[in-house]
Amino acid sequence: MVRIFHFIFGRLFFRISGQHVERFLNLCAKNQVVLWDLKPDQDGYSFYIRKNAYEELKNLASKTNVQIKLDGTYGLPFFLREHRKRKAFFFSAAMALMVIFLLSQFVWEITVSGSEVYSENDILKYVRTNFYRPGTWKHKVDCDLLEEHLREDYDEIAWVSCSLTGTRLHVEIKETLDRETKQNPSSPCDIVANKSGTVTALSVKSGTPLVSVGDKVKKGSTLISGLIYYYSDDFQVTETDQIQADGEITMKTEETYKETIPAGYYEKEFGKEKKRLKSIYIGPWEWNLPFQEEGDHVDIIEKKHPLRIGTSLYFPAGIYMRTYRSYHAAKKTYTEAQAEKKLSDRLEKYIKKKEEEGIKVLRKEIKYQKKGDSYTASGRIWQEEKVGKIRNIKALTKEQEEKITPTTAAP
Amino acid sequence: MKRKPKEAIAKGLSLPRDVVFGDFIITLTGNQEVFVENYKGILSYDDGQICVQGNHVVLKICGRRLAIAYYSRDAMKVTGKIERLEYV
Repeated sequence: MVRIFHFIFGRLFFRISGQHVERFLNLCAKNQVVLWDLKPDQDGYSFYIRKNAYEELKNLASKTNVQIKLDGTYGLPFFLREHRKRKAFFFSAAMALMVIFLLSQFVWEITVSGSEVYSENDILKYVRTNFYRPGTWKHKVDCDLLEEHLREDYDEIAWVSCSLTGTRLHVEIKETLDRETKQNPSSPCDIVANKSGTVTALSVKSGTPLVSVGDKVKKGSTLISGLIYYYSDDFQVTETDQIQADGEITMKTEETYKETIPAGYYEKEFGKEKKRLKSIYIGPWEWNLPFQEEGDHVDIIEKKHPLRIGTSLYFPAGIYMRTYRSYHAAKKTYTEAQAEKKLSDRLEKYIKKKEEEGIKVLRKEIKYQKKGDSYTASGRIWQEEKVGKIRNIKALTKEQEEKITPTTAAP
Repeated sequence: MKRKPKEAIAKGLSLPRDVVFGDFIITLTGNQEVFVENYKGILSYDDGQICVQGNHVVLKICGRRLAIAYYSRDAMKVTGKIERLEYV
């Protein structure tokens, strides 16, 4: 840090000699002139001082009658003075800064995270074709609008947040509602069912509940409405209000499970990995570098490395890297016991993943079968899970309105 | 022996000696670095030894290839291979 300051403000290198050099040094210290790298020389000392202490130093030297000799100048001010005639250099440095500034006004990278049911590429494609391509001006990007459309067009998305940092548009998706995501919507909303099933527990924080424990609910129906009705003494609606519905609903749901694996399979034995630069791209243009073809049995993994500063300032340029992994394939067949084990392992993994998400599996009925050249595990899983999905407020139907109307006056 | 009143006060109130008497504070890091505070000035300086004037005593730093990395009114840092610190 100190070095950076020294570089920016410039420093001077001096040699001094004379009779009362120590006195001179002590005077310097008393007059707030800080010396550093003070070293004994042939017949005196050498040291560095900051650039703007030069006048003071000259006065002190004449006072103590020592000879000072300027022996070098270092730092940015001297560098600029030395190169002040190189107009092209300064011009291009300024241009580079300008280009970076201009490029940072556009979105160059769109990333998606958190999706499990939909692939990230799917959502990326959706955003690219319907909304914003890389290269859109940052001020045109409307995150709220994008969020709303994503929620409407994808059923499984329970919560979505779009954020624009640097030159990156990040779409974060959650497919189940949890504590932290629920508090986020800024506008009034309803909570609707994203699955069909039976309600087993219900706790409402805000909003009007439209279902009760034991009700069978269809996918898409409203569970908690963000509409609030105020009633007068004779049960007439006097006023309505819109708020953010919030609450926790647990439902018993049923799911069919099916998993098939073929009887024969190839086992790959991987050889050595090779990494190679495949191409360089700038905007829509891409230059392929010459490379020789690899053999038949090779796994190729291609990865894009965009140019960026920090984690969010992306630029429309970068490289593609390819990793080659050659393998030797051997054909093998499962025995019945092996296949069953493999299938039950997969099922266990699937259930474990559910449990990590907070879903409680109540019961399962799975059958293992051999059908032609493949083994199948199929059956049903009963589970208890938290459901809910945020949707913009929808007006209540007549039936729903009747349901929430109070029937007896409060005591 | 008669104790000086200033010393008695400092001891009685357990005041730090560097504040009351302006004693040296020396921070020694291994044998490569000394950080000296509360001094009056340099008396002499060469490759093998540095003499620093304190309030009542003189500190002599002996060693090899001694260099003052930093020298200001309140603190100085000496680097090099330090062999001895002496009060003269």
